[in-house]
Amino acid sequence: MANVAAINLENVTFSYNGGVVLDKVDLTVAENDFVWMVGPNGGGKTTLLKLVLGLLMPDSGHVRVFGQTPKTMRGRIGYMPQQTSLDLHFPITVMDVALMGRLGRAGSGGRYNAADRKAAEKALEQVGLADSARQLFSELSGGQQRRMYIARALTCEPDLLILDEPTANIDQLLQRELYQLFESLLGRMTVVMVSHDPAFVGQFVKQVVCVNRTVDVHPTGEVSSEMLGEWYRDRDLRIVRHDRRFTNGEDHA
Amino acid sequence: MPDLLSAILEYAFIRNALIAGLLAAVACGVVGSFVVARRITYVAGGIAHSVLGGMGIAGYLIAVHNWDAVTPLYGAIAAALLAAVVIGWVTLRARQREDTIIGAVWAVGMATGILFISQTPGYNQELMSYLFGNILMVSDSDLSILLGLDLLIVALTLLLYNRFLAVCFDAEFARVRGIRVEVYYILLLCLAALTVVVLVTVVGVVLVIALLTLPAAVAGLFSRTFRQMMIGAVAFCIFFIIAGLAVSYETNFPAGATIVLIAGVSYVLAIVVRWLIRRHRNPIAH
Repeated sequence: MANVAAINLENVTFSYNGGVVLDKVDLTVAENDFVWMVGPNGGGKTTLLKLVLGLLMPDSGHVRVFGQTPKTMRGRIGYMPQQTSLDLHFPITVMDVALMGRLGRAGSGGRYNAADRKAAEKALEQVGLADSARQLFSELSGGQQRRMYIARALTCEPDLLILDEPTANIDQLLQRELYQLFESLLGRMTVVMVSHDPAFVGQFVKQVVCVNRTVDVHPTGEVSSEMLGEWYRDRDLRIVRHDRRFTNGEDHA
Repeated sequence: MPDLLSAILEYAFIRNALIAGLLAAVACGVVGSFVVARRITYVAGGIAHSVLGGMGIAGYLIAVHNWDAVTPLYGAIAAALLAAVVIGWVTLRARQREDTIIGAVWAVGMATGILFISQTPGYNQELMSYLFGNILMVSDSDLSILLGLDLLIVALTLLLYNRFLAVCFDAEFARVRGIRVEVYYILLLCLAALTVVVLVTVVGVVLVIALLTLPAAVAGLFSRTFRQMMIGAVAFCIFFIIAGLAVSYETNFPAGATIVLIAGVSYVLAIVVRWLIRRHRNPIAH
């Protein structure tokens, strides 16, 4: 098994109720690559991730994860969803949610063992939630919930980590810590991260996957701020403001 | 209460009523917590009412065709499991039709029951005890079936606890972890169906929902974990049933209705108590 791609999409088309979301998409992500996925809302990012997870089936084309169908490779994937429609009043602690990353392993039906707990504790510590392990899910802020889901994905100890907007709703200081965490994963596992926050990701990501009905892959340097600015015109003020200030500065000089 | 105690020692049927109540409390606390947390009260309601169909058919076969090996409880088990599988399967296949199929199973089950009961000699009394329960009529053989159902429910829940919890909390993530979500969801509905059967003997078809959800809801107000909620729900359910039996023994009120009213009043009190506790702890925020 020399050099099997972590993710391989071949000529994949997917539509919801007749509307084409992804059109003849080809994409290869090599093992241990760190990929940044961008694109406008509704452009098909989450759909693409769900195809990789085997939660959706393509209308045509092939999806392979580590050379196999997504369903058979699920044990090696850690997933953090973008939105969850979870019941906020569900009586469950942060630790119990993190432990769900250990599901699907042998004997995970009745009780989790010491190794499972250790993995969950480590993951909670990595996202800065070690002190909140015994807190109720309903007591967490939006940002804490996002971090809890990251921890749950890490608890899987995956070979492929899929993060759908991990830093939304998280304040600047914690964002920086999280990106340090992601940076520490470089080379240890394959990571696909959807993010609207180029300021940080651009520092250590080599490949940018642009999803907007079709998929283009660029080296990070090629992604111009005009390109991003067009997509995130209403969203990412940081880029736009940064460019404008710079221009103003030149004008005055 | 002392009267009830002496009655327990004196009369076998009151002893049986109490044992049936305790068995019901265990199933109701364990499965009711999942039902409340997963918000499938109305699925359980549909299953509960379909049970009347099974009991009606079984009663008819016993009275008219002399099927001696059958009891209405067998009919209830068959109907409840069938309803659980039908509702679960249709829900998973066509999500948006969930309420319609629940309504259909609910009403068709009752209609079937009423039809068969009407064709069974001496139907009036039967119908009332199916609808509103008759905990004072629980036989020894009924008790052993209830015990068997209880053991099955508790054993399966302990064995598959983490998976049930994950499927209830976040089905999509459970699926990504390789859990066969559909299988566990339908299995959970089947456990709810068996619990409904246990509860029907105590409070009857119409009042099952109250006993399945209220103890878990009260426990949920004061629990930090799902395990605590389950244990609390069992405890509250035991309390409601014993208190209900005691009051109904003193007053001659129907036992099922008394138990449900005590549960309902306790739920309201619990909400008030929790509100007071929160206000006491954090006077500014509320």
